[in-house]
Amino acid sequence: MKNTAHPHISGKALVVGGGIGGIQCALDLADTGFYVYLLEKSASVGGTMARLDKTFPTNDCSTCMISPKLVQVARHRNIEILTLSRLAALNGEPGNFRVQIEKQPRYVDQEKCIACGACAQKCPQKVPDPFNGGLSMRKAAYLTFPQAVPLKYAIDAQNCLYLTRGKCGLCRRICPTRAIAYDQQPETLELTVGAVVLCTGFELALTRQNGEYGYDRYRNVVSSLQYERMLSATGPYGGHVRRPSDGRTPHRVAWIQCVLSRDPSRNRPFCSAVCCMHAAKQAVLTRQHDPDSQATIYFMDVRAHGKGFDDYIERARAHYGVHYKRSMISQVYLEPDSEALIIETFDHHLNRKVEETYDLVVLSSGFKPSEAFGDLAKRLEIDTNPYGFALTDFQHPVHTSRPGVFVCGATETPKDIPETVIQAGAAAAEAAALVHPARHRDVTSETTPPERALDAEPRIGVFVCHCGSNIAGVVDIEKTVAYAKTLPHVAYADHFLFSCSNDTLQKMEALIRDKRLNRIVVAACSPRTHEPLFQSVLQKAGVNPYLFELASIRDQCS
Amino acid sequence: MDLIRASTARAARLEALSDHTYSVTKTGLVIGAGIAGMTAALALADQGFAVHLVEKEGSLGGFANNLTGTLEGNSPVALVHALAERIKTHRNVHLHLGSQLVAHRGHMGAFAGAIRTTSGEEAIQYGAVVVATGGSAYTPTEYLYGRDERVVTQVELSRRLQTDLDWARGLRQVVMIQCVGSRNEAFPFCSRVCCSAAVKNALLLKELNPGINLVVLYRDVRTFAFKELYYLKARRRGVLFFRYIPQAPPEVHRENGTLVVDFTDRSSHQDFGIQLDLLVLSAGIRPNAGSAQIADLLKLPTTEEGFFLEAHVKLRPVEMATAGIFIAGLAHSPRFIEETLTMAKSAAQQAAKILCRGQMTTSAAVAEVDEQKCTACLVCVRVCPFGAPYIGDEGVSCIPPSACMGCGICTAECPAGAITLKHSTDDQITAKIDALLENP
Repeated sequence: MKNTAHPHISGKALVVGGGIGGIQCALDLADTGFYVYLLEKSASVGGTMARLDKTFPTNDCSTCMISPKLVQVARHRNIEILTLSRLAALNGEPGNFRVQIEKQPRYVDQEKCIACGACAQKCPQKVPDPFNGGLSMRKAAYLTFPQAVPLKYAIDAQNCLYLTRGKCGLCRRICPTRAIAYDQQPETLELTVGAVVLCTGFELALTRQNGEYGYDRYRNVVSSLQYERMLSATGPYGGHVRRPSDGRTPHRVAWIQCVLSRDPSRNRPFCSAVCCMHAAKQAVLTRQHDPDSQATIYFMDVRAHGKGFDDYIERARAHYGVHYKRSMISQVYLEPDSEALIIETFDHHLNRKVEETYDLVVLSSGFKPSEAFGDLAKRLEIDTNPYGFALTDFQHPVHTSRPGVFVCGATETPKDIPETVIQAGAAAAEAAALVHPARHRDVTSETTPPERALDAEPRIGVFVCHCGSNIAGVVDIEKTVAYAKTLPHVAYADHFLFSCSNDTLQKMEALIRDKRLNRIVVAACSPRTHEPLFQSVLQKAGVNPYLFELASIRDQCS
Repeated sequence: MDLIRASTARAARLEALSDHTYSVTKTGLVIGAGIAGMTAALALADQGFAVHLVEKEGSLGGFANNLTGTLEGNSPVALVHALAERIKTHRNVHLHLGSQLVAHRGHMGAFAGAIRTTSGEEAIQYGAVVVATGGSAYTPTEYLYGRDERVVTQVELSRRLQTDLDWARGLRQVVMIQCVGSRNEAFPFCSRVCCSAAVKNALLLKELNPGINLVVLYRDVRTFAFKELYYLKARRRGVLFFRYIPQAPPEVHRENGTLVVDFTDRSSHQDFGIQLDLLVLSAGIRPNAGSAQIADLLKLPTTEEGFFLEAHVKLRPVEMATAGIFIAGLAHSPRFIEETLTMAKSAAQQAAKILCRGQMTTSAAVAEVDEQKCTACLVCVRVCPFGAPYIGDEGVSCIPPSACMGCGICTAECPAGAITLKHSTDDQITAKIDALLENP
């Protein structure tokens, strides 16, 4: 496409949306010499992928897949994450856009917060947790999820007693670093960027209006995302699937496919592309969690059109015993005493209608573009299709109707994680083609101090991490630190609440210099998560980064 | 405590190591000039990088040249023309038609190879590779294909619908069979595009002759996302869709010169026989024959069916496990044109991460050969999954630090114990184990 960019091209880009699409696009741009503002409307990046348990077709743990990317994005010198923010206005031309960002207050000072959790512990106000689909409560002072990026608490302004009624204020009193800041105000930021990428993702189309399925009325009818949270270890029931009505394990679970998809009567005639696969995955996981369970999927067509997908469905059927019944269910009945659900279907072998009873029913709801996108599309004058998804061009599949504004992920069409990651790369390529004359120009770079001369004898520093309560809840930290001091060559031992937090890393750097430590052992999570992080601390302190060892006491002990 | 004791024992024996730095060749290599290859090449060229685009045929466009139109009414041929024009005139693209890559070695950022062109062999240097060797249509052997001119594939029908409208209008009874050469024992994957192709042609036929009797025999209709709207339209226009039983698929035979198809409808368990004018087979997609040669040359893994196997399905869908090599288009898996274009740009962007740098560093935790001990037995050369070791001029194994991924396999396998893995040396490991098993 002809480069119609303004001669003064900005080497910065704006990525709107911090889900997997936005994260991947930000990384693909920042790693090729551009500065990226990553905008996210909630308090943490991660999007829907952070809410999933396992992902098809490999059954990889979703958080394990996204965490390394979250860490990369958090640490990247050239990615600036702006949470609680939205794009208010876009003016200018491709290559030289002026954007206006509206940032809502977090009411917590990010520089001071060490994510200790004391505010949430003391907070008296409970609200249904949207992350868990309302199946559990969280406090008004909260962390979106345990691996949130940025790992900083936030205060829910709508529900905070102090902010709404001037009462309470307990969190401010209890915070050990005085990070609570009730007086924070909304901010408006004016930025200049060369390209914009929209990755605002999707939401489920299911609402209380869909009464015929009993959603939000019958307690044991849940949405696909609610069920996903039930399956998750960080979910409302600690990874155990339970009936919301009585807390017991459901033995008979049914999935109803194409709820609000392929449904012309609701003006939602299109297909949401991924529900066939995620239902199969949820059914397989259910059978794994409880071998006595019965998993049944009611479907119209099995859309397993991706690489390895048909194989997955076959294994679900043959190996895991998931029952597939071809029947479009349009209504769910309640058995009031047990709160079981009754599904009426046609049995092809008996050649008549039958009623089948289930303890729990999962609705595989269709997708719609994220609520905020409708507004955004209007303000930016982006063309959408009749169902609100961004329209693109056949020859330029990630271009929106507005030059210099690109799109990726479910904002364009419902799609799965691999296709989203691929599209994010393509959007980055288009943005890069636009602003490439400014490559490397608007990025920040860091100089590493030279390595200093070390003592000949090893002087080992041992840092034991609490990891909040993940390690401290099981391991006696004091005793461990005392023990470490007795080991040969150990010159210093200490402990930290969260070794990976910024202020701890700064402390570590200072200690390495002051105590002339020339080898570091951090007893914490795993090298997979934070080894490069700790190695960079060593480098900043003038120590060779290979003189580092991580003892995985979280993974192996607690 | 045991873990910490073990860790401190190793820490005491750690050595300071330096990362290795080398210069990056800021040129890309794209193998295959179909729409995936052309798009990847342009994506790199538009960002200011030089690109070698190597195509074994004498012309550009690959399989897309056989396609007449998409379900949504777009033109693949117009796309091919648009891409070809840009390729031929882009100053950053070095196009090599009628050429093949015949040699390849090196590592990410610094590859060296040779292409055999119509005028001899040319040595080239490149920092990253995008494999876009493409795909082609399965040629059916079932359902009397090739033995009766009334049996055609969707691609053949599409072409005939462009040139022979009178013939098309004269058709009275047409049957389409889905999943031909897909979702079976030999090729268990779904070819993704065929349901849409059938719906597209069904709508075209209905447009030409609303009175036509059109039956589609399918297993699942996979018109996902907004393609569903066209499926809905086809049903509303009176196209009949019947589910067949995969274990008892439709049968085609001739009865007094008339073509007949018999099948059992899976929903009603009723048997049907239809006399037809035309039988259209939705034949699947296969990776191109040439991909095997590239897989061999670049040491890339493939699936059983011959598609290239990416590094990670979710996190790295366009990357190969070997650093610096990327994949796009049908060479990876069956996909629609827009999906191929997207994938090609994405692969190019991953390649750009390498090409945009002046230098690269590699981890110092790499394998080192003690030349005194090496007997050139070739074990390391054979076991390395990344093709790093080679026997150098001195007659002993050389492992370039930038090619080594530090996996340690050669270190463990070397019968002479000549290889050390830096940062995981024997004394570091044994100290750790001894400390772990000590009684405190």
